Amino acid sequence: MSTKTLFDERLKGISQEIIDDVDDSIDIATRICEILKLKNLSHRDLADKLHKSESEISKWLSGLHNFTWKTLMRIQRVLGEPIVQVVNEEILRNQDLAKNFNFITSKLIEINKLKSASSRSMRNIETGDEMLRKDDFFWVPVKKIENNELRN
Amino acid sequence: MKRSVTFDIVRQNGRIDILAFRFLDEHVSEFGKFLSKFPQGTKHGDDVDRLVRWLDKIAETGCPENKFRWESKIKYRIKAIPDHQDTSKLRLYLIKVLKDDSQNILILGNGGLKNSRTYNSNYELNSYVRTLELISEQIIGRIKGLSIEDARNLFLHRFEIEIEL
Repeated sequence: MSTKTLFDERLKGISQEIIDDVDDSIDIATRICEILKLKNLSHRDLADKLHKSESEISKWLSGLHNFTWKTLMRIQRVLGEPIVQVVNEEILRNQDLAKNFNFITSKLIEINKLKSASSRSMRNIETGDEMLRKDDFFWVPVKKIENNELRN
Repeated sequence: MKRSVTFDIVRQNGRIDILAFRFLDEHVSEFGKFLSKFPQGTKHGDDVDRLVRWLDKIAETGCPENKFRWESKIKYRIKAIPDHQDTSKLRLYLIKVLKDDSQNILILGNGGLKNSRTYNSNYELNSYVRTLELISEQIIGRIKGLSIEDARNLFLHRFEIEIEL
């Protein structure tokens, strides 16, 4: 069996608990690194602020560290930026709204792209009729236009 | 004894290419043997699962920071994971070929349980690290002067080296 297959097989069998643990740990480490970069701080600076050794900080940021809530809150406090967030109904509702807004926006962008990329005419796959664009959303058979059915 | 070594691709196309070295006269790579030593559901199986998931994630996203613990001499670029010595005795040795954290090539070797203070005092772990040192010496020589892209391409085609064990 190839190494890739062995790796993939192993991945498939990993429990959801471990997946969540590792993913959260990587996300938290990435977020802390992001804040350090943003604030132009080094591992040493964070270590000093927390009265820890630099190697301890590197270990925390390995993406394999199991953070305690207390440690996370301390890091959050000394960095002055949020790392983890406790959600409530209002936050969840806002997230849903944002998700819907993003979905609608992405669809509008897709429509606009299609609009500019497609030619003015195409063929109906069911009837074979040549179709012409009436407006952004409607296409009509050429025959109807010829019969003046679309004249206002 | 001279032995030929080749490199199996585990992950590519992400930010980090993950390879595993294999002796040409064997079917299973050293990393493959490491996986088999600690099957799922056994005492250290969970630790290995964490490493596997972690490797899979960082292959795609890259390492935002230096996430590995140095082993051996710095010139060999050999690292050990995980870096949380307090919680796990398990070690997997690898070569971090390039210095860049966001784009890199990792060559996985073998590993095991570190019950001694240093890897040198454990015959098994010492031999894994020694083999990686020999591989590293040759690879670093071959990639010298190459761009990151060219170095990554080198391993995409059948790439073999010979080491004196």
